Amino acid sequence: MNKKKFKWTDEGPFEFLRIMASIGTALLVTFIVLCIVTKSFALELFIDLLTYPTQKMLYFGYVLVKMVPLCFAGLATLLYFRTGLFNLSTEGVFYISGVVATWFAINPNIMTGNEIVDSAICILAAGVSGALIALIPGFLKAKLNADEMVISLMMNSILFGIGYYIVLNYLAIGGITGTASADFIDTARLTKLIPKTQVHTGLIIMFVMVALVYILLFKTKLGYSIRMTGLNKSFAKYSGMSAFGLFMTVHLLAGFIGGMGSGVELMGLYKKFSWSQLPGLGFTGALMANIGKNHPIGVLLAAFGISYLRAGAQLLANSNPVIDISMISIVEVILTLLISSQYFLRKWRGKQMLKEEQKNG
Amino acid sequence: MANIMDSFLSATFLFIVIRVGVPLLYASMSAYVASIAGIPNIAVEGIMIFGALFGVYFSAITGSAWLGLLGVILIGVVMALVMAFFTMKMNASPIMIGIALNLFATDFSVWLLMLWTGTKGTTATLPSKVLPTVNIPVIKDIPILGEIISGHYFLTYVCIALAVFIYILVYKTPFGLRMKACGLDEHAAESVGIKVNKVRLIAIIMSAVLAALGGAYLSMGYMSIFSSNMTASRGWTGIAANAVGGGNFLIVVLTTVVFSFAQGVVNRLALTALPSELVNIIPYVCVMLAMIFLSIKEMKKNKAN
Repeated sequence: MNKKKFKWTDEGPFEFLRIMASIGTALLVTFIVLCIVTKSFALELFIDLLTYPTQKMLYFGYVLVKMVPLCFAGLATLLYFRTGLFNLSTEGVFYISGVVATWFAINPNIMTGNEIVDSAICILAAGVSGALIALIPGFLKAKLNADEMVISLMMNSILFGIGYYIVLNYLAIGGITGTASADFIDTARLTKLIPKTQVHTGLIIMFVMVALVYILLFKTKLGYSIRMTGLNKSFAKYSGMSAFGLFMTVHLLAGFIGGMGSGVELMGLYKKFSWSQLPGLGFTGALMANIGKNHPIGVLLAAFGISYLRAGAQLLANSNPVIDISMISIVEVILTLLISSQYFLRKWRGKQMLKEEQKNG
Repeated sequence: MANIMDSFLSATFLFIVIRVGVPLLYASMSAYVASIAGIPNIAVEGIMIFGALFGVYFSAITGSAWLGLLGVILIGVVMALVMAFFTMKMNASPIMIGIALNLFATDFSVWLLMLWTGTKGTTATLPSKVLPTVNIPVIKDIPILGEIISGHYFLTYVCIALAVFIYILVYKTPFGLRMKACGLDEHAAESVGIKVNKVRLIAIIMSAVLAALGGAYLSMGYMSIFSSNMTASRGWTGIAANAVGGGNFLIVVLTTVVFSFAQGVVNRLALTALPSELVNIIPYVCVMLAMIFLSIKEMKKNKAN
């Protein structure tokens, strides 16, 4: 038996160590910033920030609810990133799919009265519309090789303009032009999963999607093509699958996941459509994919972690004037910067390996 | 309708085009300078937000618009150093760094706004200063022409001067040649003795300062306050203009001018009864069409080869 000794410098453990060090650094900087802002040694406040969501089931429910859209956006963006596409259209897809879901959810002629059927109609409609919209940048990339990032960003602004116009003019309550739609019909909304919290059945849908994306990426031929194309652009050409088909499929799937996320978020958490600006998930999705190392489980953990901190900040914001949810951007940016830094801790690893070599002679 | 058409031909309309075009030109130049040196700067939008916010803040605490402007330049340099450190020393993807900095600027500026003013909306309560407008002697008295090009903000003329400076720097100096060499092939550039990292660092600093100035233009002239989301995708429009230009500075500027006209039309139509949500998307549609047009042209060129 030649059992391999565990070493921190091995690929897997080193990667774990790097992520832990990134999280540690991000939290340390947050602590320092808190000290500067409050002009005191803000240890208590910092501990509050980290522990608040675990104090009550209701609070922990916030964490679970808030991670759902982050996770969906992360999963959608992950598919793009894995294929080597820097597409940020999840932002606009979220908005316009939400508008479509709303159209179904406020329409008494379509809603059947059955809770499962009605929510499924709304969520699937959102998913399908998201998939169709995502085909536009997909086609432009696959056929014309247009810069997908700029196109997707311009599309976000365009989709928002069109979506907002539709909400104001066609979905608002008859006669009154407000900034919100009419109320969703009750049966369209997702049911509560945990009583006395906001947690809805969308959480289960999220876990299912994480599993499906995992299976897609690592257990299917399509997933293999996606991963290989991300590593080497010419792979798709040699794999037998046309690059055109692959790009279109990826956009279709990512758009579907993004749209679905929007449907789940709206039907789970909202009573009516009231987004008067873009929800900001396109970029956050990119961060989730990056922090989660473009792995579905990683995205799930990243969404949980960021959502946990955001919930802590939001809960403390009521009692403390210096704390706000936007503060968590410090953690997000440092995590992203360090995790995407390929050379982070490389010197340390090199030194450790050298020591090892010398010890072994 | 005829009324609106008339107003597009007036001197005031051209004045407005320059007014709305300047921040776009800052953004385009920012994207251009970084991309020809081989480090795409995706963070233009974020740096503009910080430029706008810190210009207001520094001018409010120092009581001087000029010290505020100095603060803006410093913030630009700091952002550049962060970008340079992570992309060049830590080997991170410039795209990812850019995305992270953009999101950071969007959220963090809201937090700073809250700390400084107690509200998340605007800096209206801060006693910030604006940079002066400049009336050019002699030219201001010429009919029409004076109406169009005189009486703009100080940073408008700085922008035009910087555009000329960048043109000369890139096309007429050895340093410009080195920048382009780094962008084309860093290993080849290195092999002929160019210090790639140094050239790129200078390019990133220039790029970030340009973006920060674009932000300052918005909050210290165009408007006299900072409000969250005030950059409204201008940074991205700049990046798109740079993509359309494909490394040719004059085409980048020309594209920016076209986008500025589109934005000018939007500002004009905002006064009519047309739904503003739909009118607002005109510039973005223009950018998208330009990108599609460019891609078709590129594809035809590649096929011909």
